[in-house]
Amino acid sequence: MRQENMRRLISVASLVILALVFGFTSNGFFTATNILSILRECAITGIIAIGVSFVIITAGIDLSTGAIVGFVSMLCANLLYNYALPAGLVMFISVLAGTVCGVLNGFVVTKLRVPEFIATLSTQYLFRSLVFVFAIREMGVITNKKITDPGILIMGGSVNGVYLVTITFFALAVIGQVILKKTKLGTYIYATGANRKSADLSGINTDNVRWAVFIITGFLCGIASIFEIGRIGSATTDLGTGLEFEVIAAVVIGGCAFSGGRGDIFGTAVGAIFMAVLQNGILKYNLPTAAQLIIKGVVIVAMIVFDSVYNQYMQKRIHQKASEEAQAAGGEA
Amino acid sequence: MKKKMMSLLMVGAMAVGMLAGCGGVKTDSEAASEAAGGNGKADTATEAATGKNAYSDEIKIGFLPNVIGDSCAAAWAEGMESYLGNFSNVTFNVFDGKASVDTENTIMEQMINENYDAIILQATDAAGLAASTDKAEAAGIPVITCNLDADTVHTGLVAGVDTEAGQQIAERIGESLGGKGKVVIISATPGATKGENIDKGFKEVLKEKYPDIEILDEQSGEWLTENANTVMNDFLTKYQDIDAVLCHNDAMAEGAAEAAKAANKEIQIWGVDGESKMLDYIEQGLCTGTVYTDCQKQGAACAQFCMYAIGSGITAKNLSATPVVKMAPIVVTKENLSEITEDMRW
Amino acid sequence: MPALLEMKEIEKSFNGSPVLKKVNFSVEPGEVHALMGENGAGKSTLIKILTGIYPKDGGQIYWNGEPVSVEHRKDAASLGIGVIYQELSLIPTLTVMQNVMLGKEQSKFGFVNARKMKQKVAGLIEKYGFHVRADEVVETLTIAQRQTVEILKALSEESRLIIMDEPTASLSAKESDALFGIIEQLRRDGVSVIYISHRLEEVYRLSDRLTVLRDGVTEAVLAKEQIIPADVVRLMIGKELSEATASNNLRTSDAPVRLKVGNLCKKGVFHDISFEIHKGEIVGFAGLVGAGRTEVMRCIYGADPYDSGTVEFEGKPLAKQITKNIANGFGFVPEDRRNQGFTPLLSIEKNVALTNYDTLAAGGFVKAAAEKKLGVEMVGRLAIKPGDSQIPVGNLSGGNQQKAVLAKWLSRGLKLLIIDEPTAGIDIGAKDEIYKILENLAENGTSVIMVSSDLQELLRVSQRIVVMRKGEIFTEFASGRITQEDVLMAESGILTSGAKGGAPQGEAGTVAKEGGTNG
Repeated sequence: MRQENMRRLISVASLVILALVFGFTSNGFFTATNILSILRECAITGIIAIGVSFVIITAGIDLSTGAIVGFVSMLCANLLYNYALPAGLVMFISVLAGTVCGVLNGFVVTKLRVPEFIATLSTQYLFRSLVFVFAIREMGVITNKKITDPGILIMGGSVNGVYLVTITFFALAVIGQVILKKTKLGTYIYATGANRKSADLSGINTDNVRWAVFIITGFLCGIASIFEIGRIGSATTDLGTGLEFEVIAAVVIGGCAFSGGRGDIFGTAVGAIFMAVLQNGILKYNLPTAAQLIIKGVVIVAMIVFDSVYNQYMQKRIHQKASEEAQAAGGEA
Repeated sequence: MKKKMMSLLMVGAMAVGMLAGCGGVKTDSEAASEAAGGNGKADTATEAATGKNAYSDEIKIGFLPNVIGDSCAAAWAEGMESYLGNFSNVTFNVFDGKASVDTENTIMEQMINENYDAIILQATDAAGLAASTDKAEAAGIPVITCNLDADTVHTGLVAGVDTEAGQQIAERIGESLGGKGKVVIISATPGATKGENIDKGFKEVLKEKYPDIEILDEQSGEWLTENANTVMNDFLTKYQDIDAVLCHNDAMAEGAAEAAKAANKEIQIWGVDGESKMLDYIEQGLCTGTVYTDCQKQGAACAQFCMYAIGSGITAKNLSATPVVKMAPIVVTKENLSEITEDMRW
Repeated sequence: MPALLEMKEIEKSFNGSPVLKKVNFSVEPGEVHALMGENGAGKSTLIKILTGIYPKDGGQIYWNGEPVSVEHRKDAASLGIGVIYQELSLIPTLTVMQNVMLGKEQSKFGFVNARKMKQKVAGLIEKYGFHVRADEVVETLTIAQRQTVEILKALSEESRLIIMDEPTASLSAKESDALFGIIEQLRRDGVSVIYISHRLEEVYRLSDRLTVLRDGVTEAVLAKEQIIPADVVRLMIGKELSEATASNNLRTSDAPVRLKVGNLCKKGVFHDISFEIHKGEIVGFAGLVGAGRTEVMRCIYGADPYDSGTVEFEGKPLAKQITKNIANGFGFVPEDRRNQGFTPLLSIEKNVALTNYDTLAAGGFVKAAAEKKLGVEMVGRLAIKPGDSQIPVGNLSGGNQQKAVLAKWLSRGLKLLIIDEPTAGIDIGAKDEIYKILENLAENGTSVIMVSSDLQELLRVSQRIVVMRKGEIFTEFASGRITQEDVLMAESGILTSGAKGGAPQGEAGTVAKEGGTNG
């Protein structure tokens, strides 16, 4: 496991360094409210990132997560406004709708055999258009209505300062990690991503595995949506736009490689917190928008490049070590 | 190491869970008002609500517009800066909402955490910003909205002309068409109060006084010139006779004007705001008119309200409705263009 | 007691040409049975039928005396047949035990019982004395260790028969010894091994019996005492064929030296490689899998770096960059024609143009007319069929594809052509055409280095044959009437009377007498 542990250490170290940089060069970073704020910001991205981690470990990708959140949120807002359904039912529907979106994604990828990039790009458009189908309209014009159901609004709330969404994120992250490391499904997820042909030969149904990870992601998007509308109290038509990239960045920074077979939820959690710290810190400097975007982009690219270089370096070292050992064992043939 | 990390995570989760048992779950505003209502809890901004002198103590005011690149937003910021610049104890920071509800909420959160003394907000979405406005007010930070309101009670709103603008434009169109004709509307981003109000005023007057004027269609141009251009082109292809267009802001009117020009059609085009570019268009005859708001004065007014509210104890708690100050509407057409002097242009 | 496995009168044809003609093959329980034969003799086809990858056309398979049908991989596995392939198929980021138990984990409600798995795997490891730990991550293991994991996999499935295909190809001497120890242990446990290899000394050391296939027929089944390398080689090649294909144009050249390689070394791959190539000479390079021929050529050409040594071309040191070498008149036709030789989707014309842009393009722009002319010229010169230079190379037959690849280089007026396995997978008729092209080239002054595993080909075309073995030059044939046996023996480390050249380092005379060398 040595490479995995090193990678974890590096992720955590990057996070700590980033936090220290921000802490010392701006004021108000290391206060309790700010830290709790960061933990809140990272949670929605984080919850979805758990699912997307599974997808990326299978060497797949999901570009539709933001649109799923947008669609499910709008659906719930609509139901709450037009039919005044009870909060519990709406939350159930939210999770169900997200899961159905995941089922659709998995179907297109495994049964229709569309490559994942194109498939989820297409479903992204589909889900985004559903947002407009369900948008609340008055006299034919889309308007946004406040959500007033306290059962929903409480989901945006906190306990002694710790936000519900943060608690949920950590709990789900633990569950995700356990699934990856301790269950058959987890092993199959790694196998499918590292060497699909091999996995097939070993009797693993890789199609089902890939389908499953999309369903899990959809399910998590449904959960994330509940917290999103709980916090904001309404659903706009552009809610969730661009969210998929934040999620993917968090997953990759946390150590999952696009080539599959590598990474875990601990890393992803670190990655999500990293993204939130980055966003939070940049805002503290009060820079113009352009500068903000540049800094954010540069840091993310640097992390991803570093990740790729590090992986290559480790592979080389491993092969070197292996051939050295082979030589020590008595001269190459 | 794997096992240790696992158990660490589990312990963490349990600890958090136990904490949960101790307090009840509260929404942001509940938590904030509790903290503010209690005494001397250092982390939340109790000082902002009472006891601070706006003109002598160190004050932080933040301005969060929908999009900073907007000429309106620039004019507002100018107005605020020129006013607040007179007071050396005031730090004034401008942010960028990036036209995103999420971003605005994040920045609101940040300002609340950093103990800003007042916030001037242009809400991307009325419902979407309601929660954070509540939270700020509950923490004792007065929120003054500028032009685009948040759907909740707060310290103040300095509104640009909206309902009246719609009404006035309806009058002008109705008269010039002799009570009969066809109009289309290119509206704002759904959920913006200003757009909703302009629409309301416009339709009210038409219904009452000019019932024979038909509204053919209404589509959103999202406040943007390019989008309005596309929408206008659509309208021109779909409908044979369009007599007039109402655009909820100048940027969109400019876009519609280009479309009409390209199609070689003579149509009355009305906007709202009164930005410099629009005035040029009116001069060139590409647009018919607009309803001018002195944005710099509007910005200054917002800033004045902040200074008014800081230290006075005025927050949403003591209000039953948001106090509103409306800017004076000045209908500007080619005839009275000269009324808008150089220094009034923005 | 019935034989564990009996394959009776197995027949198989591809596209009408018979590959297996009533082959008989049997394996007893607890025996190590070697399977040998030249390329094309039918070994891999036979094994693929046994493991359910190909269906057979005729014959019957018996397992423990009962007739069985093996139609899918799963059938073979459920009978208890396991295979260790050359390309290993493990999951690098998982541990040894996870890999071994992949697809067959013991689990409850989806949770894997890691403890039980570890017990089982660790138990097997201990029993066989493998040098791996159950919880090591596979990607940190050497190739030898990974191979043992593959063996573990087969064992964990309670295989009674394990097939190993050239298992020592990438192993060191010490690792090979370890493998032999494992095979011994397997035999003691009553597990049979089918051992496919070209390495005579290994076969001699390990096997209880040896089956030699030739031309799709079981040529002989020898018991341990009957295994004499020279005889085996003769059986693999066949007397008449051997006579008919003996070389008759071996000679030393007195033309000027064009390429001079001195003490070329690459750690762990080859060392002390020295040879000379003359103008207009065709030199064949022979050797078994893993001898290092392709690696040496790639280093000379500039595709891979080497550690030390000199390469001189026409008296001047050779550049290490491919583009420079191409400009100097070098050409390289790789073994993996499909992936490295041509671009299948592009037309013949475009493929030819790829190596010629120094003359076909100016200032970044392509001279379309010149390109076209060259394409048509090459198609005619090499008689590529169909004769249309616009056809994508991927659509041509194997032989014509190879011609297209050659066209890339011939269009340049080469000084030195290195070609690796020139006629692999090409039918007899096309083979001849390719040889003619090569001979033509040599007549016109081009030097040709031909790496090949096809003994007939080497003998037919080469003027000299250099034999490499385990990263070194073992010997050289430059005169006389040499047969396929001579070459094959040399490849296996045995010098026959026809060979020239001193005894290579570390090896001694005929292997059969000593029964095992240091690898």
